[in-house]
Amino acid sequence: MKQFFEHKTPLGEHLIKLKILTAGELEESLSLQKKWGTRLGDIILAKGFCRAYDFYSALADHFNCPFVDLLKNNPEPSLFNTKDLAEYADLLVIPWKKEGGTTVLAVADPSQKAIDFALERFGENIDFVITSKFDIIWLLQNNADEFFSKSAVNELAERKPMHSARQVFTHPQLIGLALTCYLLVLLICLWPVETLIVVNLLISVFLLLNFGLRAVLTWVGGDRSIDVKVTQHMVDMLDENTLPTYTILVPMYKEAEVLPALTRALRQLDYPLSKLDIKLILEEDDTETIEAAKTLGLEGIFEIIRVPISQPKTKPKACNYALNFSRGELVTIYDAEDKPEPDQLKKVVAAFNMAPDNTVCIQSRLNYFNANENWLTRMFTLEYSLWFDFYLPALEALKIPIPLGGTSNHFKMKVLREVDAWDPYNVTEDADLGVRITQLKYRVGVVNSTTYEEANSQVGNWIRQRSRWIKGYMQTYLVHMRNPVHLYQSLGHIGFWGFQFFIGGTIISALVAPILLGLYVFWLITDTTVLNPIFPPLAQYLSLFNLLFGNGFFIYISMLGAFKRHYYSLIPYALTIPAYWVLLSIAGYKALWQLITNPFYWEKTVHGISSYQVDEKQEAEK
Amino acid sequence: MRAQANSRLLALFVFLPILVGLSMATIWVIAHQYTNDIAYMNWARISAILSAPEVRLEDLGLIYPHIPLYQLIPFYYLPGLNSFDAPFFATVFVGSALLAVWFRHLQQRGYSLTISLVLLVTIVLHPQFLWAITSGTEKALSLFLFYLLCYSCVRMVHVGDVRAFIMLGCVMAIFFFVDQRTFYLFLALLPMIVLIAPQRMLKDSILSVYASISLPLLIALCSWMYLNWLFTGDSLQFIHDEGSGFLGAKHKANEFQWLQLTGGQFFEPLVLASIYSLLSYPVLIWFLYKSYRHKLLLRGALVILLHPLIAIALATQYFFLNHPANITFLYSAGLMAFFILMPRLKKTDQKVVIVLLLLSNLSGWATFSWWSTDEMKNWQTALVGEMVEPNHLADKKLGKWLRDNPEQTMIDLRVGYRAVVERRSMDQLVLPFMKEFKVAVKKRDAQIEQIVVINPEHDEARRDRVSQHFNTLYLNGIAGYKRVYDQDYWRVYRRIDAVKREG
Repeated sequence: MKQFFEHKTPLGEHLIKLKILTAGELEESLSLQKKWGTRLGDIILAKGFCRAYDFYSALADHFNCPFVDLLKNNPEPSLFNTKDLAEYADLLVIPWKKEGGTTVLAVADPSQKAIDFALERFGENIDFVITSKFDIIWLLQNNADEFFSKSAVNELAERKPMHSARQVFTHPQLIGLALTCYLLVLLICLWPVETLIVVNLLISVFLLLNFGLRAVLTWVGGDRSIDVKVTQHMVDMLDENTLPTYTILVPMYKEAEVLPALTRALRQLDYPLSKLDIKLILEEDDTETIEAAKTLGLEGIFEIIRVPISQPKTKPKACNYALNFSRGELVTIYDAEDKPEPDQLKKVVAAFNMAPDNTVCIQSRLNYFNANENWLTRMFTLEYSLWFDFYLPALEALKIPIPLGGTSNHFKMKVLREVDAWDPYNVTEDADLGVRITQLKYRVGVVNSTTYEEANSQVGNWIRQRSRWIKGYMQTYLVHMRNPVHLYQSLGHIGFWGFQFFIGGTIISALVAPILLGLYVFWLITDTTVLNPIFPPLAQYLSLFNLLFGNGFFIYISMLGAFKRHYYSLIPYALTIPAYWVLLSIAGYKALWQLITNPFYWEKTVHGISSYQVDEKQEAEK
Repeated sequence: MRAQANSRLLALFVFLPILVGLSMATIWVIAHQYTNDIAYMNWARISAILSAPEVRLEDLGLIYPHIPLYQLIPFYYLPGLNSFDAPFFATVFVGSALLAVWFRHLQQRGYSLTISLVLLVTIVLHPQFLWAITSGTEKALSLFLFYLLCYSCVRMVHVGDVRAFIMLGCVMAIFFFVDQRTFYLFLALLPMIVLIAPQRMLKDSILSVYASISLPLLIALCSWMYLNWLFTGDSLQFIHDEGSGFLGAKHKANEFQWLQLTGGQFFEPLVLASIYSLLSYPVLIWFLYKSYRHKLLLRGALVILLHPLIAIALATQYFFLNHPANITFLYSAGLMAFFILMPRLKKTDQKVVIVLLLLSNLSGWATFSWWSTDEMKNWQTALVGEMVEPNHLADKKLGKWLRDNPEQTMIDLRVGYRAVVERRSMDQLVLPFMKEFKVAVKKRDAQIEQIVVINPEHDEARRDRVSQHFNTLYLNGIAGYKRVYDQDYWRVYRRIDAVKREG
């Protein structure tokens, strides 16, 4: 270290001497350093006490090294080795140029690890210049975008094709489907009434079991001991010195207007700022958001990752791409409009500390900040409260695979990379990853911390979003059911049947509900006896049970979701939830159609349309 | 986990001897000619349905709760248990399960095996508990559910989580399908909720607290109304029908001393029921005394204590209840819940409570003997080993005759169930829900071998669907049929060609 980066005065004093830092800022930084246990430079950048350019120039001066602006003095491409890209991004060091026999490396983080890496790759004959970490990241993206992009798209599909949704239907699945259809038609031709009775019974029994599973989940999820896992005391007991570096991925597309509120929410996280590694993941063609992010003059904890244009243009692909530049031990994803509870990261660390070693993912709860905006947001909130406050904690307790929610899932970085991260072809990549992780004998936990999102307040927008979710569930179901025996062996019987009814049940009930409802309304209006033959007593009782108690139960538990969340004003609205189910079915059929015609198409949900968001934006801009 | 498995296993070991013991008690009372109309009616209904060519549950009728009937279904298919005594064993099974569950809860509370067993025995020996369990009615299920209701209240006091609300709501909804008294129990519980629900929730939104508890029952009620509409065309048939179980003793109020004395009033039955309950269960006072220092426990104790009393007062006000014991028996379950509500009693308190429980048993027997309905008296007579004097002799005589003449017979179970019980077989019966009955009624040309009809002047005659359709049958007979039985208020007509065939 001494050999390359010698210095006479401490960095802080040097920065004061150069008038980059005030004495007060240094004092604050030193006090935070004691508390957080990170390096002074990281704290100064994280707190935004000076511009990154000034800091790195001063750093170069401090170590008596030259400072280079890599954007003006591009490195020699021949020195780049794609095998080392991960190290470049992790250690923030890249080979810059050859000067005589000496390899000069540009480094933003002059650490012993970076020196060791350079020595190992280029031998004793090396030298260093200082540069900004943003330059390194920018250059890496420029020079290796194709490599990163390809790996983001193809890594899983090539290494584990069985787990990739790139192929929607496998040949055995298509043959099975065709045979089933053929057999059904044949049976209907030969024994129409008997066949329809059997189909009717199968649907009724499936819905009954689906209802049964949700009753169990509600019962288990209603238990306080499952509900409150991490207490405030546990959070208070955490030593900030020992907290791990946390990467936060924020994929965005054409959402420039929510940037101020987003960055504000992220700054408010109760976590040592210098241990945050926040990636604003923006699509290359989204110049508006990229420019907006640049003009905000964000602190050093924020990094902009530009994702090159390639197909499929999905969120998981963008996240996979950004993962190449991530340096945290833990990683999480937030959507642009998310507002996580400030202590969420700490709660997750506490939850990881108390969980078994094989717990590699912790899902936070999701809910909405604009619940009371209109009927749709109320319904959406009721649904989410039930899902995240009852179902997910219960799924965890029962060891049933958890279909992760779209955001606020926190991973151990090492394992996430080991499992090849997200499937870019799956439009509910999180749900798929939750099942994949469980199959690999890892566990997914749930923590009692909430991220507040923007509930969709417009029907069209809602249907677009929901159809994508259901399509993703269909993809997930098809992927994991390619080899049901393997799935059964890897999940066990509870996990397997839980998967069938929780993931499969969500799809089937959305598709079957309008058919059953249509038949019922037809019977009610016409008083016809045409349907009587396919409703023998047993089928009739099962249908009646599902109609009355199944639906009644779902109304009740929707109400309980609001009750548990203390959203008391939403309770009466639970009675109107059957109308919401109609929307679900519309989205279900749209999803089915898209699965066949355009399986990887990412139906973009428009965010920032809530009237609540406007106030938020104005507040953030202040 | 292992401790949990052990306590489950232990509870199972306790369940079996209790089952044997209570079964022997039941056999004993049946052997001494104790009968119970409700039990027999239930068995007659369920076996009639199950023996029909096409099993349709709606044929059971929708004027009384169905779960007590469904619990008999396994007995119908179990060889050796398919008899008119099955309801008695079904309730014994439920009672034993209740005691096993309670035993497990006691173990979880930290009571020793010996104390748990002693407590269990003292509870069983209380006459109202024993009566509820061995009389073959829905009372055993009601006891079980009432225990769960109290257990939910206890959870509400101790934990106050959503599960407590779910339990309360769902138990109430299930109660509706078990016991006609549910509405009174539910109404009585409503004012009590403020005592036990978490104060913060009550302050935030009291309506939400009530909504989360009431909605399941409301759904159950609406579902029942829908089923009534679907199968009978009248969504309120279960209230409109004179013979509805949901009306209780309303149409026979003048037959019962309790209703003559207090019917239509609230406070008087409340006071009298309080006296009756405290005489039957003096140990309740001790529990109240033990909990008065602790605000939350006291609230829980008050709910367990006051809930049945208010239910009695309400049920009497609406002329539903014919005797307070038909609700006070629930105190046995309340008493069991007290042990779960309170922290584990100290050893000296354990001895005190056992003595008080024994005292309660003694005073319970005294009050049971002092004031009871005919049915309670009969049960007590049988239990002490004396033969019960046979009643409803006319029905039984008819039943015996039908047993000796087992031809195809048209009869309405509503009025003729005792005769059917005595007949001891459902074979060859033509009942109102059956196709043959409907055809015979429609054509007014019965092609049935035998028709049983009740005297139109008899109290029950209005409910007899045979009389309703063949309204002159009793008096004038019907063409092609000959009267072959005419005793008391029953007549049986047989088809002439059938008579000839026999001749």
